[in-house]
Amino acid sequence: MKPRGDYVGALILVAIGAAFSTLSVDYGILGEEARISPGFVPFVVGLLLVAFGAMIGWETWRSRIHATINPTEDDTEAESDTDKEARYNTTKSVALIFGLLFIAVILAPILGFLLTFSILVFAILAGVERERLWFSLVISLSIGLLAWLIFYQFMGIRLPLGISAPLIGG
Amino acid sequence: MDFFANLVTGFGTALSPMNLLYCFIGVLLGTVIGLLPGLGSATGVALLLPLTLNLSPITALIMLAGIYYGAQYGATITSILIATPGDSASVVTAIDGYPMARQGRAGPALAIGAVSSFVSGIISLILLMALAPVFASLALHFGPPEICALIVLGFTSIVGFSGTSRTKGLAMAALGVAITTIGLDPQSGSARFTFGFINLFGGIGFLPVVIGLFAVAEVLHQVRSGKVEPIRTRFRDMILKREDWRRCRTTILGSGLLGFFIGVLPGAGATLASFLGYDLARHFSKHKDEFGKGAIEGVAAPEAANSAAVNGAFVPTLTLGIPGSGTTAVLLGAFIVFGIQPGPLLFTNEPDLVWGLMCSFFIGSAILLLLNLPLVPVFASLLRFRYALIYPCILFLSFIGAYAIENRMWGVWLTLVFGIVGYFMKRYDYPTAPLILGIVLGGMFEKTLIQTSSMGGGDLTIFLDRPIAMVLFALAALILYGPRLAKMYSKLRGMSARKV
Repeated sequence: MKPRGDYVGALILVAIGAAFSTLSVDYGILGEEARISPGFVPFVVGLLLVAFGAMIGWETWRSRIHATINPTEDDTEAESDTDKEARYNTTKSVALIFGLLFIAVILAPILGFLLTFSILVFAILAGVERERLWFSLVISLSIGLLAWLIFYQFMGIRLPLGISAPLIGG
Repeated sequence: MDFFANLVTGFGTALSPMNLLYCFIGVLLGTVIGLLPGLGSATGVALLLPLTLNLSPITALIMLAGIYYGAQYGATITSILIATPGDSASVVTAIDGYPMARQGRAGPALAIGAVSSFVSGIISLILLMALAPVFASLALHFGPPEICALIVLGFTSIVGFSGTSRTKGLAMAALGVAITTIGLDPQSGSARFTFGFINLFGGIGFLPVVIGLFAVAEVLHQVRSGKVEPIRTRFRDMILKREDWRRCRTTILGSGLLGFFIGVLPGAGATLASFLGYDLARHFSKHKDEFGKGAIEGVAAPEAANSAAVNGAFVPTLTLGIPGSGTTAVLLGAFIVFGIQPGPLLFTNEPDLVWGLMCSFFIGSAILLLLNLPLVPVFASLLRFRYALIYPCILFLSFIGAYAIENRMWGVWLTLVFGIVGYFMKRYDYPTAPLILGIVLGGMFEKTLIQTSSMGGGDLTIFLDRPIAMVLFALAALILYGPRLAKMYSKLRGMSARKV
């Protein structure tokens, strides 16, 4: 059970649904002779999202009440310090990868796609996975080279080259 | 008699050394393209079309068809091994294929994928050859109301993909449909929910979403779950067992036939076929509980349906000149490039070409099987590497694939955003497949609903005058409420028996 997450999820769904329904009114719901207008489907789907979001919230609340009355072993079992630390470390890794990906997507048009994502592979291997530097370098260069051969040379996909254009041969 | 004479002519053409060679090259290149995330068969055929321009029309078309087949299987490989569907039709394969791979059963999953594709491919090819004109005329009875009803039937499969909470599944499907309404409206062409942002005018592309939800989210989910051990399996565990084959026989046949029929319908496509094929298999399986956790039928069914739909899509393409799928639309373009006009007269005017092409599908399927089956242990060996080494490469290839779809950074941003969304969905048990289904079917649903509304002058009771649509709606209702009604009926019978 992850009640807080489910409440947040339900709220997000209700908010998205409400936004879709409200905004779709501007596009028209039903037109001439009650024909379907551009706002019809988003309006209906928006209402459904609100309804489903509310149902998820209700189901979560109900199961939480049930868990309070009839606690199971899982509910009462406290998390050990080792587990907490492991969970903290893995969550930190995920956050770090998110951050690295975000930076890579921003930098790709500036530095060049292949160069940026090769650096990303290196950063994940060396920084997150704590692999040896030379090994991380070999892997990142190999995957960059492979991608250059397949996507750039063989398939002719024009990847953004940025400042790495002279290096790639663009 | 004509049929057999045409068959002999067709095989004579397809089995010429030159055509065999190009068929092999096509299958090989297609498999490689299919392995790359985002580059589905349509992109593969379009990208490699220039390579065929110097060939004779029949050789070129055979090679392109080989690419088509190869790309389908290539996408299956990545779906199973790393939960990264190469194209939309192989999304469903990942649902059971990936858990099988994580349980050390990547070999059987890949093998059943290849075998079920081959078997249903052969069955559907026989249907294509023998009954193409019949199916084409049947497809003409499918107007917007019938397609709309078929899509509603497709939506019922959400039940099977919802996991622990049906409400969450329904919510995700609704969200998927909502996403498809972003962009230009199919009826008036007016912009919806774009807020003046030019990239949103084209809508939210399907493949970047799939790459984000599956590949990126799965990587992050695995990283969060801690150290992922490499999977070391013995060679004998990589081979398909008799029990596996026994469980999948009827599934392949049933899902294959269903897939072929859906493929025949213009626009319905292999993705819908794979979802419905999976759902059909789940309904009739004795191992319902295993679905979503690594059921071998869960791999065989979508693969059989997908492969049969691919062949079914050639029915409207060859007989009516109407593309049955995205890839056949590209192939239709290739026909025109080579000065061939598909349509009702194609079978009469160009028998060598049509029958040669259809026979080459047989040969292409056989080459695909012969090429890939021995390679199954090699592909499966990928999982022997430490996950820490594999996932940065998956991320690299996923993002480059997302860029390659439209050659712009927009796809990359979408992949990143949906990767984050997918990660949280996984964390809080929101099922991914219904969201994908909503995105696949949402656009088609809206379009056919608008067309139906226009046909009826705004009156949707037009559905009542369409028997095929009503049958499809009834089927949908039966799938949704049948099990509940059956349970209630047996309860009532039990109560009355106790009274007696």
